[in-house]
Amino acid sequence: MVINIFFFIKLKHTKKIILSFLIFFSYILNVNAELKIDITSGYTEPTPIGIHDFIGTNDEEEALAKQITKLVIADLNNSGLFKIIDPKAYIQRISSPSIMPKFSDWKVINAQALIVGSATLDANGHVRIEFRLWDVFAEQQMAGWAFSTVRSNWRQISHRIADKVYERLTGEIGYFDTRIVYIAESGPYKKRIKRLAIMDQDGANHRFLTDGSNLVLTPRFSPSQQEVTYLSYIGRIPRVYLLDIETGKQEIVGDFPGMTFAPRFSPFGDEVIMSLATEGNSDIYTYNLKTNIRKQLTTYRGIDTSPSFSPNAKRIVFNSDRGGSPQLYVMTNKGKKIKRISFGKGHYSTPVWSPRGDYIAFTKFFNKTFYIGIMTPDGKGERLIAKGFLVEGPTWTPNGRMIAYTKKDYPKQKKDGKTRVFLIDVTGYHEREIITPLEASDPAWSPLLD
Amino acid sequence: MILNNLIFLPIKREVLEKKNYLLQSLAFHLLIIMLIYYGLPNLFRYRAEFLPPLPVEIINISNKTAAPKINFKKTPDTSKNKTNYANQENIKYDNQTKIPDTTETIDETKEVTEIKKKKIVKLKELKKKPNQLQSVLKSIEQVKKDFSDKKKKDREDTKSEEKVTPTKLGINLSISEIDAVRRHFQQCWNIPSGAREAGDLATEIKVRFNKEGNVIDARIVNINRMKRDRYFRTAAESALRAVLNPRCKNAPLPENKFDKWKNLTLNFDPKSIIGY
Amino acid sequence: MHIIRTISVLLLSVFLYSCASKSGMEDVSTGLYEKGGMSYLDKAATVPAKIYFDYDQYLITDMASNTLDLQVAWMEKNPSRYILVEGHCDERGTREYNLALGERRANAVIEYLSSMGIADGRLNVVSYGKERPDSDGSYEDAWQKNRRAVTTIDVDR
Repeated sequence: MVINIFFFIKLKHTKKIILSFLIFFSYILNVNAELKIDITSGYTEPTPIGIHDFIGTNDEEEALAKQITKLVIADLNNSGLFKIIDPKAYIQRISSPSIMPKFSDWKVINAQALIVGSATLDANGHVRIEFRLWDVFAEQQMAGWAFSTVRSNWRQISHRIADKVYERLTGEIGYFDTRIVYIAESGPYKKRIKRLAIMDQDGANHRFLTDGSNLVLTPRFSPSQQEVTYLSYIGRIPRVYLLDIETGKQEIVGDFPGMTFAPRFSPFGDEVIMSLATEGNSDIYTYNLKTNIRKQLTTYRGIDTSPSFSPNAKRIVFNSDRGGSPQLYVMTNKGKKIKRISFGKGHYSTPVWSPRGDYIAFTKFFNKTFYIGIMTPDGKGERLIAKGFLVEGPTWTPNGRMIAYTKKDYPKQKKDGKTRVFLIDVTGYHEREIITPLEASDPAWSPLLD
Repeated sequence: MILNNLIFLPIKREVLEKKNYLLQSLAFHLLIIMLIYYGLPNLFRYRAEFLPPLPVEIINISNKTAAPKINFKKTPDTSKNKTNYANQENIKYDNQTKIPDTTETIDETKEVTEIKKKKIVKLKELKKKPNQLQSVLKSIEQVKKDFSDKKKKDREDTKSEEKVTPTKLGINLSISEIDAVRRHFQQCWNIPSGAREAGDLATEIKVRFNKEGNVIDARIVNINRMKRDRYFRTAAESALRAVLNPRCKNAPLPENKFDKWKNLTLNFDPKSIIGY
Repeated sequence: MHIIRTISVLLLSVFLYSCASKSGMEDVSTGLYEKGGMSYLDKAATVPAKIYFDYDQYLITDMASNTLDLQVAWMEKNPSRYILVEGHCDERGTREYNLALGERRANAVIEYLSSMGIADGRLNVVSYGKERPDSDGSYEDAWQKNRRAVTTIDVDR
């Protein structure tokens, strides 16, 4: 450009070049003359969104659509990241999800996003659900999906819808189509009755898996979600068992000469890792469910327990008192390169590796208080996110974003407080109770089904 | 010696003495291309020894102060202004950092700015806006990193100041006007909490305003990254929503300076808040 | 009339109470005798069944070893009895770690008993971690009572 301009002007050659240089010069310098303002703070609140009742063309479809809407609203509200605006405030009545909504009606009630959907039943008892997610301020569609399934599966579809919305708006993987297994507790504290129980993450489809005649503790899901491994005192001998969720069949894991406890599945579901305690010493063992071969991973004479695999199964984090007090250690899946990772004041235990691999959650006891915390697998960045009179046993949601744990209240007038399961966001916000029919402890969140 | 003879002499001969125009033209073209790529040369030796300058808000005083023109060739009058930060740990700076006047608030680098001579104004700023200070302090590590990456931009900036005359002072947005805009959009920015620290999630939004301070057009600058990076997309969309939020109509911008702000870039940086 | 009724009731209760005091009440699941809020291996309530530990410890204290000595003597006198030692913890620890600690406490007891001459084959352990507190209440007195090892009769053998 510079060359062209001066091509026709009669200047001495060299002067031409210098001049063009200077002009070019000033061009590059002024090219970023636009003012830029940095904005480094705002507010953090659940994002207000609108969820219009899903639409049906007849009474039956309307009823189903209403159920779906209610469930999607509950899921997104409970995540703590969204606030569903009260439908009473909605101005526009939408009759079809495929037409463009009147955005001004939604802007006025401060909905930043809008979900509209429909449910269509066919003669075979199948339902087809369509929905769209609209960006209200930018006035465009963000996402649209359609699901088809048998009508009885409508809960799962609703959770999937909530997943899609959650994922599109936060960038995180959704966790709504998952289940929780936990220990349902009842009775006086000296003679507690404990039962294995399972439910959808929103509390629906709750059922008991054992009858309470034997003490049961610490259940964990298999990656396929078909089985649960846990500790049971059948025959007054505490041992690790496997329970098939569908059939209810229980079987002992391995034939160990002593108490086995603290079981977890490996990420690929082929092994159960656990502790074996004999003669005052507990060590970590893996047991291969196919080959029935067991491997001892620790040899320290003391307490080695609460093992947890990393998501790629290459490493294991566990709880040991080899350093003089309960602390966290990481080792390879062959039991080598054992390294301590917890260094703060207090006792550390119940480590659990996040499904995303980026953090390890744990229980810390310090100064007469219990805490739930997270740290990176090399022990850095320790953050305590929950505390209480007694909080313990964290479990991750499969998107690595939230942690559920056992919480016991402070005693009132020398009476024990209630024991319940709580859920908290990994940022430390939005702690809330997961409602269960009885008291609850030892929650374990299912993995996502691919 | 040999190198000189083998390489430089023939070139000199060809280009300058023989008046080989083709070669001359080629040489200049090459020079320009290299300049574009590498930026202008650093004419000020002592700058290379500096540690990164402190990031401080740009101060533009409109009409009230006419700071004298600074000739860069002199040793600069240094930083009484810098002493405000003297107590901070982690911050090392070389006292010889030159602080030229600036009237253009240009800058690609975040928060690397020049300071006006007026100490009073600086102090006032510190007292009034502790939050800005916080974000400034926290980003010092960021700046240190940026500085080494962006040396060329600094050099460009230095040159630009040479071209600026003091009479341009007073036409740009003042610090309080910029601050008003900042506060205006802050109240509309719902920051997505707790996204993983997937690196830098700052989003630039290019905004076009009309005379009433309403947004006519807004777009995210780094669209390509939105496709690759889910967390960036979430952060970017939240920034865009802040700009488009009907509650943020009528941005508090002075009508008489409309030319200066009809096209703005707003940089939404959640760095100090996000992450866990 | 009132007075006679009250006196007879009082006399009856005293009588009953002294009856109960003569021999403890048996707990069928542990084979132990309860008397005055404590558990004993023998009906006469002379051999305490429980010993206590300090927080996060599994070492036998001096006081504990005195009790264990009494237990050894009783076991020698009752050679046909199989023993199951339960290890317990207070609630100020996590579930799995306490299962391990309970096992350590129970094991410490049978090591002591064994070292005093009781045959290994008679001795067995089980850990209940913090699942079976002796005293409900969330304060130090209660917790102290829960950090224990209970020597019981192994009713399954």
